Amino acid sequence: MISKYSKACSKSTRPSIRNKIVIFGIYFSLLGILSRLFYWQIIEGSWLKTAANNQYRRTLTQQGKRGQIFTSDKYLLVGNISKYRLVAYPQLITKDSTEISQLINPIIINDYEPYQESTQSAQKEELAKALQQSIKQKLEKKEAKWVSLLQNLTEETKNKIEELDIKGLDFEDTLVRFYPEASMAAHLTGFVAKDDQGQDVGYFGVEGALNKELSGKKRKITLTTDALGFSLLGQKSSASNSNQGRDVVLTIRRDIQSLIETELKKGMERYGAKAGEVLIIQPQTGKILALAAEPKYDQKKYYQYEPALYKNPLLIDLFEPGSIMKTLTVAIGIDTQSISPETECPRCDGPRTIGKYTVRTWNNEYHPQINMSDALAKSDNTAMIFIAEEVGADIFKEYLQNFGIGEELGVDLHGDDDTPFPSKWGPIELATRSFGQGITTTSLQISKAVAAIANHGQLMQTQVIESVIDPNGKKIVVKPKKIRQVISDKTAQQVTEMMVHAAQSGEAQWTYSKTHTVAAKTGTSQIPAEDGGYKEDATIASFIGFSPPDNPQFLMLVKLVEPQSSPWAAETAAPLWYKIAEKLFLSLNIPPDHQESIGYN
Amino acid sequence: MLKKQQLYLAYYSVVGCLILFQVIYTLYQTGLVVAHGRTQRALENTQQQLAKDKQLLQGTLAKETSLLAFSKTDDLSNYQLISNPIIVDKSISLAAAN
Repeated sequence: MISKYSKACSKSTRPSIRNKIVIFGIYFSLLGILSRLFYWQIIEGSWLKTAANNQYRRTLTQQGKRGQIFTSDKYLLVGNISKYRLVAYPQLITKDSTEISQLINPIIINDYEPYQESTQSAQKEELAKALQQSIKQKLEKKEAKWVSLLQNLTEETKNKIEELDIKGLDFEDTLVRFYPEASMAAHLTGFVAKDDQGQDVGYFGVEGALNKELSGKKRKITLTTDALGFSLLGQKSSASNSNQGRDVVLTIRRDIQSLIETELKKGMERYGAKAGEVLIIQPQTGKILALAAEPKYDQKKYYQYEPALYKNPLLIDLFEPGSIMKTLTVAIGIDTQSISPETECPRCDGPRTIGKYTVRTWNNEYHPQINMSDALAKSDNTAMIFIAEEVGADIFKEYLQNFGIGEELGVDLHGDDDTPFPSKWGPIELATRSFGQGITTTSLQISKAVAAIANHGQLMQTQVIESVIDPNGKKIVVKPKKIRQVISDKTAQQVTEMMVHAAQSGEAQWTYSKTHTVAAKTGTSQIPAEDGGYKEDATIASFIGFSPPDNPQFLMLVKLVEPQSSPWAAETAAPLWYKIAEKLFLSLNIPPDHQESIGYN
Repeated sequence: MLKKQQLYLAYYSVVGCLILFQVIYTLYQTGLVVAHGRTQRALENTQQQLAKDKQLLQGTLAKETSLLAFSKTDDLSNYQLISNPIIVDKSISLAAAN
């Protein structure tokens, strides 16, 4: 028999149904919580995280400023400037649209391009009225949320309009390229335009070649924001200027660049040339001190010009160099010991017949037994054929390639590439190429080659970048680079003396410098016609030279395409060369070495 | 019984104080971070404004010192072209002459 006490005891030790239900309920609830947690954290976790981030995080894309371009004398050549677009929110405007247009029109009119370009007062008045009307109409578009009124406004204009405190008007700012020296060195700088995605991209010149260096980098910044969207914790601060583009310092000098651009323009007018080029380089370093070509374009309004003008003709345009090539022929002859300056030409007493071709001198005058120094001065084609024949086609070709003819320059300019170099070298090809016909080169290539003669036979890499400065101020200086020794120092000296003789007693002697010794050579080449042969009465007149001959401070090439006053370089390119050189002697502080000048006691 | 209640009271008071301190400290720290962020933002704005001003000044300087501006403002006819530079190759000073 079980007592009532033992019954009570057995009742208390066994869990009651209620307890079981409670425990089950707790476990069930825990399971429910766990499953909900699994649902929200694992299944829906990713989008919830995104939604939360969207609420308190904001991502901005920041485009760094494009780098600026300076001349070697630290003048700004291409910079950036803030321009503003005046916009309106018609629904927020409280004033009368006529009143607003009347208030802002006199301020913004000075930044309105057609108005600036117009010279007639009546036309200006009409343009002002039209602009005012257009603004009024735009402001009356109450259904529009946003309208653009006028772009390219200056900071000054923006400040004046802000002073008016008109509700509903605002400004959007953007950085644009700015050219304080207008179109100076356009073929060197290139320009900036938009690509198909609306991004700023550099085209041609340094802008094209160094687009990556100059471009500001894009940076994504994630901010923790408050309820109003303002940055809360200031993450924006990290490395704020590291996304700016690098500044580039060119090797050109502003004063010399301005000088040659002005003189080239005048020279082209004087001699009636269709196109022209002037190049000044420093033979010891290969640095370009100035480079100008006409016709040129304005970088700011590049879209108004023919795209053909964007290319740098000194880098791209191929031409037959004509007699300036003779300096290289003579150098090759002396360096291979095939000739010396005193060698007399045994095959220069008349026209040369090679195969079915007859080759004459430029003036059909012949000088039997002429020595090589005089042959260069008289620009004797038959003497050059003699040299090339003595050297032989294979060695002659190898030397030309060593001089960099046909080879890319390695200069930081858009479009620098190898140019065609002839493969067939028969007797007639060798003969004509010895005096610069039947072979093409560019102005920069031939100048680089002749600069090697001026620089003790060392070929230097042409250089247009002096240094690159990164946003933190770190400067990377581009050092001059020697490519190879093309001819010996002795050969270079002998050719230099021959070039001095050529300048003093050649066809261009009438315009020779009165104060400075110059080593130079004229070149008049014919222009190939499209249907074969050469154009009648159309020439390219060129003059290349350096000074002082013993320690050249500059080498200059002047090239005039189809001059009308005379087809000869001695009457066109040479006087222009000396005219520029006269001022260059002063700019570069080159003292005179002989005097027909006034001496003061 | 009373002793137990007093112990509970003391325990919860300490816990409460700790929580309160933690709350105040957290608020203070967050305040500092936010204030730091604001200062940083203000400094950034100043830096951006200064960079903008510098650029504007650089532009103005470049405009004013450009050769283009010089040729516009200066009358070049006042200058004599140097075609024959004057070279002083001998000098007799007044002192030497006397």
